Amino acid sequence: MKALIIDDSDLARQELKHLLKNRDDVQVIGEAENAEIAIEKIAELKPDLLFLDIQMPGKDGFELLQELDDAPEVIFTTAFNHYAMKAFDHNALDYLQKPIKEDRLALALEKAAVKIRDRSNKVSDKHILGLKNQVFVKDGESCWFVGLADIRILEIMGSYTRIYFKDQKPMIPRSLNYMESRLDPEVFFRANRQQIINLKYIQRIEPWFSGTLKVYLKDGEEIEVSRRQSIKFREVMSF
Amino acid sequence: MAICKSNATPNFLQMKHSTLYWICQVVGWSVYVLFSIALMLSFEGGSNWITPGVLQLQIIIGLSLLLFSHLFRHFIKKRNWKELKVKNLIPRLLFGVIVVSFLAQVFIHFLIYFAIPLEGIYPFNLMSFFGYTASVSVVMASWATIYFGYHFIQRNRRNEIEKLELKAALQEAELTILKNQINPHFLFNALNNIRSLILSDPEKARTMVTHISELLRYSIQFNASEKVSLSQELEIVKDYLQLESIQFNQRLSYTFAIDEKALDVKIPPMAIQLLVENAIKHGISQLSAGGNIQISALLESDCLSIKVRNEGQLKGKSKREGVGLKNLLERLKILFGHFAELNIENTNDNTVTATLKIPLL
Repeated sequence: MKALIIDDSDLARQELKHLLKNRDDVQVIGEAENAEIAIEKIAELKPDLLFLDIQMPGKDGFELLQELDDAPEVIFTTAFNHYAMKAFDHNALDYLQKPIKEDRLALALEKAAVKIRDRSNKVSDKHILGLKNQVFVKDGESCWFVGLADIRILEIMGSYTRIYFKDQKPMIPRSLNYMESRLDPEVFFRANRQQIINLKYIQRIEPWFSGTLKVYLKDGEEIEVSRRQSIKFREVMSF
Repeated sequence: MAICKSNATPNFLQMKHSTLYWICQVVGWSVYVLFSIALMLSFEGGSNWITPGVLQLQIIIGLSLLLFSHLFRHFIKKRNWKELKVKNLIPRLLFGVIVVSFLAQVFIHFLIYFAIPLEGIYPFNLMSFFGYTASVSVVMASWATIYFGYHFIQRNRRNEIEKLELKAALQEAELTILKNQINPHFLFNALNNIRSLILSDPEKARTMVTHISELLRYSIQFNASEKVSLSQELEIVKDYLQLESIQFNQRLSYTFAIDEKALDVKIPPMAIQLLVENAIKHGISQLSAGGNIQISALLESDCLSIKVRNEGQLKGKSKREGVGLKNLLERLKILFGHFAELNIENTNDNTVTATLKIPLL
């Protein structure tokens, strides 16, 4: 696994590098002391894994992740952050408390390795976002890594997009048009002006008024496909 | 401490109670006997009435009443009448007084007519027996009034004391809650940095362990109602800044400007530390290039004026921030009333100043 260490404390980065030095499953390919540098290095080095400190000058760890279209696997490192830890425990995100215990680190790396392997099995074009990709979503106190494979609907909310996955529907700070331009068109289909749907979740399709279609999703949602998109939809689905 | 005290109090009072009780009993009934004799003497030709028999009778009456009032007390204690409400107590007490007086009269009559027959007394007469019972009832009622009056006053006083003790304990507890704890986020970062230093610079690691020990000792040692001298507090602020310096590397610098005359002024422990911590947390740590913190203390005519300046700007506070400051304000109020001041404001486009004024006592 190629890892990037992001922490504002120089000594903390040294410490973590020291801990990772003797592990042959991890290779530290770079480090960053704040979010701006980290974003550049992520684009440049394409790490599989981030060790990410939450409290940093400027943007914090969460804000950094929200800027990424596709988030790598993340192991959060934190000294003590009561509120963040509650969110972690609740959503089963992985975090390590500094100073880091080596067996906890080993455990976190094992889990990360499994997830990274799973993702690389889902083949997809590099420039668009497909089922193997994940986005980081923070809505108030809660946060998630959401695999695109889990998203059923993306819905316009002003300049934001509401995403539907499992029983959650938080918002991400991206426009629906932007999401459409980045998503794999073989999986995600623009049903109408407001919504993009994940084709893998379609259960049933019915003809609707004046040449439009109605799509029933596995979780009970009903989506009306606009007239123009219905024509396109028939083309996509009929091959 | 408070708990030990309240445990010891009842034992101490009880011991005093029983002694006091016996003194009151003996003195009270002696006075009663002497008063009865004096009353007889005051009658016309009273001195003729006073025969050895009459004196013996008075002494027997006095001792008997002492005995029966004591038995009555025993009964009262056994039945726990002291815990009764007044409206339940009074009827029981009236009935009790009459019964005790009656029994006392039976006992006295038995003594003086059968056990040790006295010379020169009137023969038994049922009417005067009940007359005596009635008059002794009045005496017993006074006895009961004094007995319960004393206990009610005692109980009120004890309640008063307990209330005061409770209030003091509450204030102490409040101060303990408000006590500024070392921020755990800072503490664990410092430990992590020291762990790293052990590899790269063991000498520096040793120094940092010393700083962290000083800081921990200080924060544990002083209870929140105590005050410390400015010089003690500044020592700890320096330990704290040294530890933060290894976290922030080149990004943190600081200067002190301290009035020598102010070094002995007493201030609440961890007060300046808190202001410096805030300056770092909300100021320096937000700036990628870091910044400078200036700490000054100046003796004014009636107060010590402490200022902590940092680069940055105050923004709207989130809910979680400001808990430390709110606690400090509460502590200042408990320790100094309205004479201490704390104020944080933007003093120009790029400076936040926290000003703490401590009254000179």
